[in-house]
Amino acid sequence: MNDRKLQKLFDLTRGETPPAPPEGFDSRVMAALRREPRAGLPSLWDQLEQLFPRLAVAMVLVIGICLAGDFAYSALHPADLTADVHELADQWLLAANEE
Amino acid sequence: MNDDAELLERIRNGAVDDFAEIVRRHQPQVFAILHRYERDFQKVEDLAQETFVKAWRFLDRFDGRAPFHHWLSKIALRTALDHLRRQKRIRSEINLSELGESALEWLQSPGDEPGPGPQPAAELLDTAMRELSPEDRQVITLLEIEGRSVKEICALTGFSSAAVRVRAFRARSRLRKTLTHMGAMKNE
Repeated sequence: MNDRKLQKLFDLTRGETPPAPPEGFDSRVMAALRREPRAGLPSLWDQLEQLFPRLAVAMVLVIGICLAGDFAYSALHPADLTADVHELADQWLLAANEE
Repeated sequence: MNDDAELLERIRNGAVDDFAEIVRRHQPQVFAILHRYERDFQKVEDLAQETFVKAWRFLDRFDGRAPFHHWLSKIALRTALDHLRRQKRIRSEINLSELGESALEWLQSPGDEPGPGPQPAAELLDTAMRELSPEDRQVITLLEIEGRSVKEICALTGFSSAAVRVRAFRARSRLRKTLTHMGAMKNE
């Protein structure tokens, strides 16, 4: 199957006449919609729901960027436990001396 | 006769029966769209009804910025997409017995013989398109059969133009493979 043949299939399909709606189709629709309530204007929740996939992707991106930033920062400034302990101990000792 | 905007305003103000006029005006367009995705006329009718009922339910959300038929087309396409997704879970194998002999012979012919006629060609393409994802099928149908531009497809489906091009490329490639496979299946 080459491109030309596939294109021909598309062209032939385009020439097909679509079926005509049956007689009385409008009455059938009207009967169905009398059972249907009309929806009101979209609420904030509906709008958020519509945006959901995009919002979810954006959130995942933000979380990813934060994690990457945290890893990068940790790599550039490695944690020094001894220095931290000294700092804490100094603060406690000073606090104890003041008392 | 009133244009759509006037008619819709009257419907919003309570003239429910005027919606029948909207249905009569737009039913050929809705049937034509849905027929691209479903060959069974009874099912097309059900889907068309579903489309109009959805349009009715969400009529207050039609803001009039685009023409009504454009908004209705989007609903019809969304209905067709949901239908294809449901069908995808049911259908699995290609069944060549549904196809006419002329279409299969043309498929096997090596050269550029004249095609099998619009209806057998559409049936052949429909069978091959069942192998595509619903979204890819919709994109290639809009692009190649309805002759819509990429920009129009973006507006109708919500895909980006890059996504439309990728889906169309993937669909063409998959269709070529499936149709070749179908031609080989006939010989078996």
